[in-house]
Amino acid sequence: MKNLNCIYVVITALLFAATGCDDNQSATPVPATGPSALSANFIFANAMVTSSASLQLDLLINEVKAGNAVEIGQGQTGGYINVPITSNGTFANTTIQAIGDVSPIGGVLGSGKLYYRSANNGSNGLTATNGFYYTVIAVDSVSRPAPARKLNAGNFGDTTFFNIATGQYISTVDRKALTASQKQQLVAIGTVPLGSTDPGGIRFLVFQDNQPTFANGNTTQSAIRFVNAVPNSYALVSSGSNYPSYPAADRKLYAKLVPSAGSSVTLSSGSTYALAFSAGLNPSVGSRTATGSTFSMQTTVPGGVATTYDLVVDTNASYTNPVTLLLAQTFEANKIYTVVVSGVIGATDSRALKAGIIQHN
Amino acid sequence: MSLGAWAQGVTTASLSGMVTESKGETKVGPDAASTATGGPMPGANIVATHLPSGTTYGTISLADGRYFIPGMRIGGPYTIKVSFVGYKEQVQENITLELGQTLVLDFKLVDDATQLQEVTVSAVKDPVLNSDKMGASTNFNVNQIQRLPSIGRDFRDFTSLTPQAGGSAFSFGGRSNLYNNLTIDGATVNNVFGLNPLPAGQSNATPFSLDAIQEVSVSLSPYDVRQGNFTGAGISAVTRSGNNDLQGSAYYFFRNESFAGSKINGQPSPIPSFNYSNFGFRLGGPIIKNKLFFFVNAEFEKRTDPFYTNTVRPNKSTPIGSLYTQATDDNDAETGIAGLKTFLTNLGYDPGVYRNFNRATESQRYVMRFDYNINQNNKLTLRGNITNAFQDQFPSSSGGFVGGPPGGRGNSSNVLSFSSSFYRINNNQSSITAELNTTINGGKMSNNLVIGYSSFRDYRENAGGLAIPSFPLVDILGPNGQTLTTFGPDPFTPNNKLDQTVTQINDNFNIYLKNHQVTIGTANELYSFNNVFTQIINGVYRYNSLADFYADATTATTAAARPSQYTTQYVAVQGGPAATAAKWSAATLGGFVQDEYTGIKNLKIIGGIRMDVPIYLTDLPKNNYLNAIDLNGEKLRVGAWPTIRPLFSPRIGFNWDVKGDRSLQVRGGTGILTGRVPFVWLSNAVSNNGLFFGQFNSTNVPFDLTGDKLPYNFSTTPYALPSDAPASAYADLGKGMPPMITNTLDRNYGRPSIVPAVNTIAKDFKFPQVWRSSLAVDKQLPYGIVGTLEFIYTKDINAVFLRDANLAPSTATLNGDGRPLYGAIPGNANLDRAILSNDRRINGDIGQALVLDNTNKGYQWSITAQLSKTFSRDFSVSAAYTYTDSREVNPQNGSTAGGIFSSQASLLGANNPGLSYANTLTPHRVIAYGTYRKEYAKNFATTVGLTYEGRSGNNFSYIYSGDPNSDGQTADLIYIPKNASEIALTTSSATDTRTIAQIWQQLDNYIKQDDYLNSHRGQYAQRSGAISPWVNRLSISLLQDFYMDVKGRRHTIQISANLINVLNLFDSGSGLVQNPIRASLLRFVGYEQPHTAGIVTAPVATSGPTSTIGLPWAATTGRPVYAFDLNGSSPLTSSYVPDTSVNGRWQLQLGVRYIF
Repeated sequence: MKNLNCIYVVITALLFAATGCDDNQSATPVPATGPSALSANFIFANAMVTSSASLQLDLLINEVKAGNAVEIGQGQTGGYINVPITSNGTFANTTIQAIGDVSPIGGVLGSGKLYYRSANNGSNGLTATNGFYYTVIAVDSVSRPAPARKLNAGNFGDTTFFNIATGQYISTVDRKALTASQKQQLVAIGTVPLGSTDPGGIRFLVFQDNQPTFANGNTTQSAIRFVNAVPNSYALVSSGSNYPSYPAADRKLYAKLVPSAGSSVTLSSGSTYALAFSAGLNPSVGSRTATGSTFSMQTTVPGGVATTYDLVVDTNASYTNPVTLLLAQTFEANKIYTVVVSGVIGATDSRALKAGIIQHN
Repeated sequence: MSLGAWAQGVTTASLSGMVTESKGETKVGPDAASTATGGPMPGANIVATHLPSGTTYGTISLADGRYFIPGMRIGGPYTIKVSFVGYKEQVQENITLELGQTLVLDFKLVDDATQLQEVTVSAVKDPVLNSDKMGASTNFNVNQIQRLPSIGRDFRDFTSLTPQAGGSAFSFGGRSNLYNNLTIDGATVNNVFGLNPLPAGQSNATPFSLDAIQEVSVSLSPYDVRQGNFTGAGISAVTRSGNNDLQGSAYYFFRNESFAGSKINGQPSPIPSFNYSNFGFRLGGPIIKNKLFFFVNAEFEKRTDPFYTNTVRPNKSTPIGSLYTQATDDNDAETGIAGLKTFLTNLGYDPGVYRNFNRATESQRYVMRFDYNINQNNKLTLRGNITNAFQDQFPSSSGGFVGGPPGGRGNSSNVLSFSSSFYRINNNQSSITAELNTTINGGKMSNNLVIGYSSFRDYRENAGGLAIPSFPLVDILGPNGQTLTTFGPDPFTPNNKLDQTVTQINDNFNIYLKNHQVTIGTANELYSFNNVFTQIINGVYRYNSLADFYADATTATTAAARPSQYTTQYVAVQGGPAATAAKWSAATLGGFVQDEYTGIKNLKIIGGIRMDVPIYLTDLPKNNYLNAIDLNGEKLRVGAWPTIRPLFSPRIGFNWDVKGDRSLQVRGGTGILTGRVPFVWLSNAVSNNGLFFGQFNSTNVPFDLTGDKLPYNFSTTPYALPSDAPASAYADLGKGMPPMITNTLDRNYGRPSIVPAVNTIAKDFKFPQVWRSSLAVDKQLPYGIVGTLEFIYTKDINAVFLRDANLAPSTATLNGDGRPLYGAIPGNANLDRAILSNDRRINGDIGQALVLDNTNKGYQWSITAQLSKTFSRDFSVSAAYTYTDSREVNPQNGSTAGGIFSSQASLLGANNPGLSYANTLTPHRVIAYGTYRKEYAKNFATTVGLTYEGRSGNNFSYIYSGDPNSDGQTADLIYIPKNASEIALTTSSATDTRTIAQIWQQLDNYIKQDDYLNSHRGQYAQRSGAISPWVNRLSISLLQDFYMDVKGRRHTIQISANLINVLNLFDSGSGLVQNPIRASLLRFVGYEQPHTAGIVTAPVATSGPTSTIGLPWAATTGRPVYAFDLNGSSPLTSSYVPDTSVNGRWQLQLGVRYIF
């Protein structure tokens, strides 16, 4: 019996000698200790086109209301609103939304909120950078239809058009069925991108304002940027067989400031609200976005309370049929402004051309 | 239920015992000196007769009175007769032998002169309380196989009743199912290549018919060194034999969608229509009575399912309903696809159909066996079997060297793929075995010889069994950017075949000495593989629209007419066939010696040592270019086998009958098991050597629009190197030089063709070995219940470990997390071969350099408590609970080495996965089963079988979607935050209206309701640490027999009903399997600051009219930012969702059978 016990003890010992555990390899967690300290600055203008004259929009950045409600054709005047963000220029996660201040925006969406998306077929927001300044302008028509991408199995492309005669967007067109005169009324505004999820309605222009501070206390000058947000001012698209340019020429918008005394100051020698395929500040079809990377303060004017200006726009460079949108506007010295022209050329109702001013500092 | 089993490599049973003289009596035998009163009786004649076949086995008791009869047919009944001149003959009847069992029968002889002396036979028949039982094992005999519920007629329904089995994956003891070994009649039929643990497994077929099987056993901890080639479990099946009576059966089983649950949690949830049928027959009988017997079985199984169950609407006006569930198409999809079919037909290619075609699953199984009683000392068995199986499959959604098409190619709400892109996997297996059992010198020695040959032929066709055309695969995207349709053969199907043969010769020679049974033997397996795999050889095109495809296919000369992506692989061996094969052979040579010692009273000890030598028989081409590269001091070994070295498996086991009356038994042992590595992991190193093929794809080579018609424009002819290509464009296998880039498709001339990944084997790589030990106590309890408590511990000695030798060490620590952070530049050899200072690669000529290596980390242990009771031959029950723990470094169950590497969740990086739970672990498991049969009213019998399985759900890892640690693998374990401060969250999309606080609240609520996450706050999640909810599965079988006895033969008609998951029948919320809704809980969006991994990046300057603002970030590494996405349009509030497939619901199968 003794030898039995010995065998048993040896085997049991072997068993449990084998149970020495391996240690898992691990790292010591060093988690985050607080929310992001990043922030960016936003300012807003309402340049959308709607027959509802009194609709006010609120701007929401990451669901935080930035500034006060803004009337159609107007811009915020209280300067940038500083808003927390969670990425420093590394990915597109800053959400920009517009919401009717008291009632839904309506139009084709009929919804309460409109969203900025940085790509036609993605769900990305803005790639905001810590400490940077952005101007957000709501543009376009609330009734802009959702562009539809066709399978292209037949004889037409995925091109969306804008009818310059009616001011209407047209989601798809059978080119073969168009008459010559009909073609003359259509501006091709780009191919609907693959996977486009554009629901239609208004869009956003977003400018990255890389220096909204005038250099060291300029006591005599104001800086003014001009934004043409008029959707039936257009630039022709000429590249590629899928993008026929039916109208004969561009339709540009010219703008100048006419002071009470002295010579006028040209804000724009011919600005097109180009709807597609041109560089710059364009909301391409299928998205509701445009990110301008430059804040070209193209014009400086003598500033100060002593000088007031009228804003005059026209569709020809000679100003033969000028429209005055602002009267006796004051631009303060050492301040930066954006002048936004919105509305529809040729409209006489509430969609008529109008101008708003954003004061950046 | 029987537990006394050997398994692997054992096909028979044995009888042993002691013949003694009756106490108190005196008789002088032939050898007077040896016949003391009550002492052992040598020279007694023992004859065992297997009554159904008349097969007889005989021996003579040895000098110590012991006798041993090996190599006996399993089953029975047997009659055992023991005689000696001058003594009364002793007869023991109705003895049944089970597979691998050594039944101990002791006899006491009384002399003729003793009148009225009661003859006593002490037959120790209990299958548990048996000196033969040492390690953990289970047996299922033909009665249990017939009576217990099984809907798929799959032997795994019975092996899973082993207490230590895993949930559902054919794994045992917490180890990978690829580490099991399956034999039929002692011949290896395991799928040793390992794309699936079982032959025909890819076709969802079983390798053999239940009607051909006499017995199945599972052995987990054998201390008999004859058993080898597994570190999981050895599963052994023995086929039926013919007898003197002609016996047979014909059967038919069927089920369809109306025999299955149509609700989940009370909500209607219809399942697609399907049809399943299985019919076959078996017949066994004599060719020469008492001498030569035959058995045949044939079985035909067929299942038809619709391929598409969730289909695209033909057009926008088609209502969404049960037939059409697709909601996102907003165009006339069907018209476009119909037009495409016309276009392709005009092009001379028939793409097949895109609606209303079925998925076929079929298999045929044949078994034929002959048993030949050459004489009393020699028994020969010949067995052949054939299994031919196939299943149609969806086209793979993988892109091969690049990403697959968005939306995949298979069954989704967007895709209407043509039938020409579906494929059929064929698994044909056949094997033949010869076994010769020989008794030598009157039973003092015996020999067992097994010769086996198994052949596996796996190959692909197009679905429906059609030929595979030489045509590229084309993906065309729809308006929503998701795949609209696919045509052309699946990219992994042309030239995809695997031929395997396994030849084996095993011989055991046994010598029976006083107190010793010595076994000397050899076990050898020769493997031969011919694996052809030429993925993407016909090219894969992707177009953004039908119009783009039409333009490219008709006017490919214009620059605008080209696919959005083109990928191809081309043959780079000059004159080499397209079907370049990995053809190689290997073998394991084994020998063993063992002694079974019974010299100590009530104790049996078995001890032995086995040696296995894996050898490699094929020289492989070297890649000298890659092998010259220095990877931080390591040189690759492309084309080199590991060093050949013997692997030793010493083992010792014991069985101690504590009280000498078999009422209490302690048993166990310890020893090393040596198994095979799934040979596909080795074969990866044979084929992925960077020599045979060149690859390119159009997404990362510059378009040269000035050249001739470009190879990436649509062509129905697969790309090949042009006829004027220089010699360097081809591989030089003699010099070990890979093909060099010479054309304009790559920027890096004179460099090897793109090598996304090579596979190599470490020089000292060893086959898997474990040290397994077990200790068990069996006790006879009141009321005839036998209780068992069994502990098994397994320690990995050589586990398989995979690492990427080209992955640079981490360069920093992830801010806001604490884990190591790898270089920011992805290891993409296609993109740029220059190594940057923050590249995660070491060398730019290759992407991944996988090395198959070993680790000794890893262990498993389990403890089982089991109670069983046999009321009668027709009524038995058993119940067991097992707790298991299993840890491993790499998951050990991938179909390729690369697949294992990329799918393993890790914290410290892909090369350092660390020890964690095995993904085959089922911690808690309860198994209960029983059968009851009652014959009544002369012509009727009713049989009821019940099984219950209660177990922990499958485990899984909570990981991030994305790659925050930047190691190139997207399976990083999450950190579970304690509070909102510990995680940087962001919105999911531009339209996400949640504030950060709301997102945290939703995440916090989710963590609170998840037991695993809530109890691990402040920690990193463990790999496979989270466990899905408990699973209850109760199944019942009901057999109703109507029989008549005519002229001594019973004819039976049997109606059967197998009801699986009974609980779900009564309550559609019960019996469900719950799966995690989102194991990738948090989506890594990016870094709060640019990820520079310690590399200082110069500030980006922007200019304005009056001043410049430099970007404000410093050269720091940002914290990771995560999104907690909504579940559809509402927050994710629970962790699990029920499996709604038919396998999760109740199912009924009806059958009818004739038996005679």
